[in-house]
Amino acid sequence: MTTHTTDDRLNAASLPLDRARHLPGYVYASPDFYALEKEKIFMREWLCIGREEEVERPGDRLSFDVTDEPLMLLREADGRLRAVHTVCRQCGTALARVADAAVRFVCPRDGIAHRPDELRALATAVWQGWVFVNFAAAPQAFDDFIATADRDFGFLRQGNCRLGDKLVSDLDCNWKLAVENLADIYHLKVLHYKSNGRRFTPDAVKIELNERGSYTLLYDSGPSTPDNRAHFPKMPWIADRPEEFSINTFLPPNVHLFGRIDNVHPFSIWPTSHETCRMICYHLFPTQCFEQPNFAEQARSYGAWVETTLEEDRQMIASLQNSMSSPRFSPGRMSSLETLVHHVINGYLERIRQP
Amino acid sequence: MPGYLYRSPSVYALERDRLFMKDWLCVARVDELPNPGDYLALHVAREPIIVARNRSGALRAFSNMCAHRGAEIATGAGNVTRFSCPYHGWSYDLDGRLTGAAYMNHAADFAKDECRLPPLKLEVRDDWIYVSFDENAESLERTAPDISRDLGVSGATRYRLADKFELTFDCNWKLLVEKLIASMLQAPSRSMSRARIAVRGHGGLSVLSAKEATTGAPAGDDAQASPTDDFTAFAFMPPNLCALARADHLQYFVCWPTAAERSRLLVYLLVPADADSGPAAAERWQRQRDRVRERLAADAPTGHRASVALDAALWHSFQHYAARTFAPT
Repeated sequence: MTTHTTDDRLNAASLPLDRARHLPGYVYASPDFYALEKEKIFMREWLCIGREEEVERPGDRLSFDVTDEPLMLLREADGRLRAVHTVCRQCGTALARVADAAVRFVCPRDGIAHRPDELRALATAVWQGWVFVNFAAAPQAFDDFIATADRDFGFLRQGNCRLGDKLVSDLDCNWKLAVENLADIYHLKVLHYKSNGRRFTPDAVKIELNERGSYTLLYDSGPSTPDNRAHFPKMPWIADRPEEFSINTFLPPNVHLFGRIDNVHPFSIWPTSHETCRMICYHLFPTQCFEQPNFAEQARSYGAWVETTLEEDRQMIASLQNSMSSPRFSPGRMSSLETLVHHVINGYLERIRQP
Repeated sequence: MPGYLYRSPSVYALERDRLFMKDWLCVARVDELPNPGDYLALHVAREPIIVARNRSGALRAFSNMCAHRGAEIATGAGNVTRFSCPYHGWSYDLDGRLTGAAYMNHAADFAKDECRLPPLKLEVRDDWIYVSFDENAESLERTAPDISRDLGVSGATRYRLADKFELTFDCNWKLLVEKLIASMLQAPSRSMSRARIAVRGHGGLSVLSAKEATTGAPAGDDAQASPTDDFTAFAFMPPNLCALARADHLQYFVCWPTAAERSRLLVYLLVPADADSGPAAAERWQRQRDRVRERLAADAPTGHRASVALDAALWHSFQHYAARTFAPT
């Protein structure tokens, strides 16, 4: 295995699209490369770990693992959010939570108990109801980080929405294969021709490529539901858009924001090992929808449809992962419909090549 | 052998590279692919492959790994006129050559005609299909022991597949191989306690029952000419094929690793081509299937009727296994 980031095989992915190849298998299969990603990406960048309403009341908390680094997001008595790195400050061991009313953590090695305010606080920021954390000691200014996504996706006003359904699914593939899969419009008319690709027209897309792998795609797939129709009213702030309105903004390193006429459903993808990942899909609906009869059931049906399309991907993507560790795998050339995948890959390469 | 040889993912990786990527491997019977377009997809130590019969009737083997992103283009078995990758629709003929790839016209210097799935070497012997990942592999004739002769079944008798089934195990593939060898050498047969064991290349073994051995004929020579009820011959061809001949049928066992601690056993039951195929025969093969399943599912064999012979045989095989798997690079 190699962690060389200037390998010719990596450079082949950086050529212009008409000459580019996909990344070599070791980028998706090597534990060494995974360690490099943790250091250069997940310990440096702003990461979207959940919704504000998941920790709405004082005392609410949300545990989360970023690679093998545990953290906890807490709503404090004064209403402020606090994210703490739940490892022992002496030995680095993951702390166990003490099962009592007060939130305390104990180190399994030295037995010392810690209050949250004794643990290392992580930088925290909120954008349109989304909670971001950053492990870096001197993180990039959050406003700079979020500016492009806010410009391109902000009009969907997720701050006026609430979480209606949350789907968590573990996949047998490296996290990047799942990220690329969501940017891959080339497979929509093939693998998903009966589901999300049924109305999609490859020639009617509008693409804006932004800095460091981020992009925004406007397309025409329509509501992501079994009958391809919206079951909630149009979101008032985009009522002038047609029903087939579809948008995808990629927020590197691991969040795909998807918008439809009646909801927003972002995906975040988290590495759980070098060859497995966890995908979380959130469905947000305008607050007024929550008054609708059968809201919960209807919202669940939106999540269930994502599960259906995800099942179409599951075996396929596991077979891709299997090939990534094969000595016989040779990365293929890219298609003209892989502009976004090419862009995402190059944003990734820029990150792992940074000093 | 020490326990880590049966558990370690790094040992498994070495075995994949140095045994399974080098040796001739028995993957199917020709009767499983009788018609043009018939194919079988399988995994060899995580390597996905396809064996297919092309339009002109020739058998071909190639990696089941799309030349675009590496997705498997086929699963299971079936009959097709071409393969189409379910991910992005790249299509291939029955020889593994790329025939179609949409939205690729922009790609500079993309020679579609030269793009294909990586081929494997393929040879057929006694109606068995063998493949090798090693493009420099010498012919099967030169490198592999002749199992059919060791079993005493080469010659005029043609066999057909009466039954094929699969068992999965939560154990390393080598335990299955050892269990099959041990169960053969410890068979509760009077004649087997005086079995004649011959060694073959790469750690292979040939075992002939005492009755045949005492006739003075070399192992396998015309043994099928007058089979008797207690005729038994056994052969092991490394890395993973064990075969057993009885008077009226053959059993082939192919032990495939699926992970360091998981394996998959394919069992083939063969009968002479002219053997009865009526309900009585079907019932008999069902009983045989149950017996094999019971025998393999039982705990490790106990008793040491042939312990010296068994130890010697396993020692011979292990020496070759270890020398090949752990040779310095």
